[in-house]
Amino acid sequence: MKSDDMGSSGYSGYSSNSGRYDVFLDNFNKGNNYLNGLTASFFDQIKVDKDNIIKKDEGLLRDRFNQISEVEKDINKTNYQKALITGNILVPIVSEVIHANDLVIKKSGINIINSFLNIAKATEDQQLIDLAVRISGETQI
Amino acid sequence: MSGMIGLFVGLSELVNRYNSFKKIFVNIYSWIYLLINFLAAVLAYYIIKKYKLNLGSISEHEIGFILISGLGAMAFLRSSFFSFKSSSGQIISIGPAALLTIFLRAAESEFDRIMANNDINNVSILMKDINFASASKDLPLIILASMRVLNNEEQKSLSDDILKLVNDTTATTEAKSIALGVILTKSTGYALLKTAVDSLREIYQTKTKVNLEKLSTFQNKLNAL
Repeated sequence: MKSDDMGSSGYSGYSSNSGRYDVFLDNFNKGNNYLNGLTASFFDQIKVDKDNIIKKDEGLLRDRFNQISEVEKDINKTNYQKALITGNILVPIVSEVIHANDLVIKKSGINIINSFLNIAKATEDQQLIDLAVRISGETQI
Repeated sequence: MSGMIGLFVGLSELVNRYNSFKKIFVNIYSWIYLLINFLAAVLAYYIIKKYKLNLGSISEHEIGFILISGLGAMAFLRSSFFSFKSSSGQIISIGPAALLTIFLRAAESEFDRIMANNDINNVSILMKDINFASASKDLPLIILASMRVLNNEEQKSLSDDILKLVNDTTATTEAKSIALGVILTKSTGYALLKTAVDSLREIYQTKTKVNLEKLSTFQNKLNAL
């Protein structure tokens, strides 16, 4: 994944001149065991809650969380890249998740969002923080 | 003029090795290295003139003498008569190049000591209170975006060096931050690193820190649901 594919970054320089740091970013993101280890633990943490929502819901949420499961299985992406994609999938559905009438879905959804926020805070990665802020903005609480 | 050719060749070698004009001249061994090149070129010119060496039609012009003596001396200084392989597998060249290498290595060691001392003094102050997790990626990115000279191999090498720090679990984050600054200084020089660190510090204070606080507040609300 190129830097430009990772969404809003916070630095104006990111979207231009990308040839100057593409190799750096690509190599850094692949070899960053600290970041990839933390993002891998995110997928471990959300496993049970994700499965709960998939079992309980029969519509959009089930589709989206199935999509997250597919992303998790992608062997061509690093855990960090998978976490970024997962964050982007979560943004438009967080409101529906945490305001769900079904308490299991609601509780599992809150756990998943909490895990994402914790990973963003622990890594202090700009891309993950930006996504976490977007997620919090969509929840309307 | 012949000596100037020697000086120029020696200087270009030092600049190529150290990537800095300014710090070459605070190193005594660099001066000795330049002086050897200068004297060799002057001596070659003197020998050619004194013994009236036959250089063919090139002897008709003074510039011919200068070029032949200057460039010839540089080629001679960098030549070796033979080389042999030591028991440790190291190839050792015997000839004028060996003499030159002694001073080049001494200059290199001295240069490293001067640079390391300056780097650690300056960088340790600069990198104080910088968050390593965020800086290890964002700082090189800001620097690379502003520079045109780092090719793909250099980018990969820089990334590998920083990854060793990031993935190391034995060093303190404070030590890692200083090492990060020292690694980046080698590519950027101190002035650009300082500009980048100041920018990052401002981004951290005005954006990252604010966002992290927002996220904590949001989490409290979320958990209260």
